[in-house]
Amino acid sequence: MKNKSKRTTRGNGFYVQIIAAVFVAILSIYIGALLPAITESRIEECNELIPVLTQELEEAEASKASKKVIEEKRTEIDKYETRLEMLGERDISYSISMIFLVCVLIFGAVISQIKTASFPKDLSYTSNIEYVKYYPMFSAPFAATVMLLAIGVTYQGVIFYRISDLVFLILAVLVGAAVFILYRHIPYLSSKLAQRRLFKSAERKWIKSFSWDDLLFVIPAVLIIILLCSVVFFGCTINGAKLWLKIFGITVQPSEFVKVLAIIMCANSYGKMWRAIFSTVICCFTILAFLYLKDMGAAIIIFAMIMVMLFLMLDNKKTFSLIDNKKLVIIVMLLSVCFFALALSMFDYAGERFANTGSAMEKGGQQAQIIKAMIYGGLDGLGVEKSSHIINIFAVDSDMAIAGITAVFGIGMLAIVMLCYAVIIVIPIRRYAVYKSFYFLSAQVSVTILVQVLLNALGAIDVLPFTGIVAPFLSSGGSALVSFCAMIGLVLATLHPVVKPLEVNKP
Amino acid sequence: MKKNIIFTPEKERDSSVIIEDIDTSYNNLDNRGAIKRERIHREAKFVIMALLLVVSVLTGTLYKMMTCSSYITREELLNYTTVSSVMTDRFGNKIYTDGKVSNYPLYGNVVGCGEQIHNSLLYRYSDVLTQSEINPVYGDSSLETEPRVLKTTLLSEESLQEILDLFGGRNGCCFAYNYETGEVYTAITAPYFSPDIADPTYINRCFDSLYIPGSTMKIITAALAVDQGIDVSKVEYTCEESFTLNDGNKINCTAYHGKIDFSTAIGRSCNCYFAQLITDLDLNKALESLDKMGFAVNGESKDSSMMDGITIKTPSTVVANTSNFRDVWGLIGQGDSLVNPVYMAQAAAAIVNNGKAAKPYLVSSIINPNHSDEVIYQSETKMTRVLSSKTADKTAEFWKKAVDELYYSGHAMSDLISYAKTGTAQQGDGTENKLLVGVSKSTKTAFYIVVEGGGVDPMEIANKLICLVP
Repeated sequence: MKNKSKRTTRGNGFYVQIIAAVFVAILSIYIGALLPAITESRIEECNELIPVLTQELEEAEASKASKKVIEEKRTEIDKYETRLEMLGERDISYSISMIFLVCVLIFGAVISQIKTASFPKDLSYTSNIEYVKYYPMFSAPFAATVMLLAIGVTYQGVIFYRISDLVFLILAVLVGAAVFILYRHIPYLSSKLAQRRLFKSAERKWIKSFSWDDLLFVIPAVLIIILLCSVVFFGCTINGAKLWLKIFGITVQPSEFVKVLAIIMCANSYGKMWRAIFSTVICCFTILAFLYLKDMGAAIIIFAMIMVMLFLMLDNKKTFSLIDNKKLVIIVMLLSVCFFALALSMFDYAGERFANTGSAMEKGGQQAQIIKAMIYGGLDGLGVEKSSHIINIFAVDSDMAIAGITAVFGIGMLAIVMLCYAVIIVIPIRRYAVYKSFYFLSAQVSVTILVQVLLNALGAIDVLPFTGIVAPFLSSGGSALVSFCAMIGLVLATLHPVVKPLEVNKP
Repeated sequence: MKKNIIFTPEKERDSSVIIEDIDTSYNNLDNRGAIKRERIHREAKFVIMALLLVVSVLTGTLYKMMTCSSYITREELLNYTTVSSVMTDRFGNKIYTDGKVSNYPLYGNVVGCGEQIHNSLLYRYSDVLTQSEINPVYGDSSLETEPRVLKTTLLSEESLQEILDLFGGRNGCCFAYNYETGEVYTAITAPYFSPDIADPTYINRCFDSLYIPGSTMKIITAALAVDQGIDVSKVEYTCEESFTLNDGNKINCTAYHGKIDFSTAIGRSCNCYFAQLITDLDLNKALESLDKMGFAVNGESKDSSMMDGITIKTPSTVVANTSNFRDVWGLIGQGDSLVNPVYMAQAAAAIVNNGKAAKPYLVSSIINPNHSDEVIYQSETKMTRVLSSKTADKTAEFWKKAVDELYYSGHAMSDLISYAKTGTAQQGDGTENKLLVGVSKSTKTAFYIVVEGGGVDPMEIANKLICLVP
């Protein structure tokens, strides 16, 4: 027994992370060297344009042009002024971000080599579970995530990048680490506390049966409802979608956090049928809310979550699902499919987006522009110097990030990006779960990222409906970045469990 | 065994332990092959899943790039072509490089500027200068690495500057070309296009403009008469300073000419003679001949002729009745006739050259300097028949007679110019355009010169021009 537990599982984590660090460093040096010259020329361009536009505005005001014309001119001047401001901060924040990411990777590589000899004894909370000797939680998915973050920062840097983006990047990595550390100890906490009942002295039977496990399900559910209600009633509208909350001058997008909470909620509904049905109902409510708020992409993702959750419940051998009533699960599944179809047909814009797919080139607009930029770019991309072709395309930094990266850096970079995503998506579901809800959790995260990537990459180039969804880790937008790093924290916590089961006496 | 908390149901626990069993029994040499196979089997589907994701997105992207390249418009492609192509004059001096024309007043409107001037070399040759379609695999790098050198047939900058200086800042145009080979020597137009001036002109008056021909129309009318089989050597009319048509309108003449013959009428540009000649023409035959000579008669639409892809405006006239005042005036050179410099030079050349004239062209060759000067395009001389040789010879004979005997004593006409016909066209606004059509047999050059508003004798420009052409 003892010999077996001494077997090390160091893995390839160290080398993977060092290779990723070298990649990030080369990328940052190569692009970082090109950026200052580009910045200068773009600043010059802005400085030339602003006086011309101001003069035009004055002329328009003097000749008493219509309000619409004056407003258009004003927004254009604002656009160039903010661009000027962003360009001023770009180079320095870009280099700090890349150095930070290299440090994170090296830190991960070093950590993976440290023996955690003293750690397991203190926390060996169950009889049949033992800590692994090494700490290889940072490995391929982690390296892939940081590489994606680096590519995202580089792409944003080519367009615009500011100090606030850097702050959000650091915040996101910290949140991811926090979620990781917290969730690693869920098995411990849960197993310790699961023996107790929340309400010991309660009279009613259902209250008595309410366990700590249920709490992990109830807390996210309540938070989801609170967040959605706050957006529906107090949200502010940007670009036609009412998705943002303004808190102390910072705009956050709660729908991104709702996704993380929905993942935890769905993952923790593995055990009991009432939890499964209840989370399905809450997800359906979320879908309706998202469709009302004109965020079709998020609605599709939540629908995918329901499907995955119910599908995994059918296979209780692999996922420890305790539900034996498979007929009921299938009925719930069919009902939610019907609900989703009905909900989509209720909102006209959703149908329009499906109908418009495939005709973007005839209509022109942002999708046609990005496809043309991709063609101009070809295999090796437009390059940083010619990236000015795409900076004026609407939402090129968020909803069309993957297509934009293809246009600027070429098909080769697209292949690297997709391989990183493949690692993040496939590796978590590759292993059998050790702890109850972990398989659910990693499957949910994988599917969320998969759907999001496909909708972003193929939606922007007019193969799938264009739903206006961000690419994980690549697009600008602090809320999305934080929530995706939290998701990766969850996945990494499940991926290399602190715990591994010992030999069990076979009957 | 203690109570198991983590894996509540007993049967589930086993499944999770299977992996552990495989891992621990890996050291067992007997089982190693089987375990390895099982591992590969287990991992394979995940590798396939990952590859599927990568390949699906890559193929989707490449498919879109391949299929959508046809949506890139010419205008968008031009943004890329202007960088790489070079144009030279007939001697190989660069007139267009790095997206800029060396001398805009001389070459601006011929070379063009992206999509702003559609009727220009740069616009019409964008597909030859680079590739007509962008290669979706190599992107815009495929455009930039393949520069092209387009050699035009235009004269050198110094020669053209001398001609332009003679205009003295007046508007007008000067078109000259070799009627045996088709090489265009000049297509000067004023005002011109330049991105640096405040009010640029986007048209080239040689190609895009139609002028009232004035007396230069009379050589066409003379050819019409000859073409009808009239023995013009015997036709004589009396000029009494004015001629009254059947409908009561009067055609006025510049002076009293008395009884004059055909060649004198051409030489003295006698309106009365031509009015009477036109009245005696057979209308249907005249219309047929005009149509053959390329005129759009009586408002019918005719395909414009092309010169290296550059559209040349079709001349037009209205002849409904040979005794109608306006129609007679039209054939004399006022009225509803409108001609184009390129067309008139070609017609004059045909009259002199047995009814045949070469089609003018501007581009002599396009080569690829990167591939050891591989020739992509080489111009060819194409002769077109405008008139029957009999008609042409006879008209030329009388025209020559007029020039030699009677005419141009007052003008300092160069010996090199063999045929010439001046004209004065009254514009609607009261100004007069001075026009000149001529042919030089020794240099094989036909030209048409317009000075808008007068003030400069076009003959001076012609004399200069004929010295400068090779």
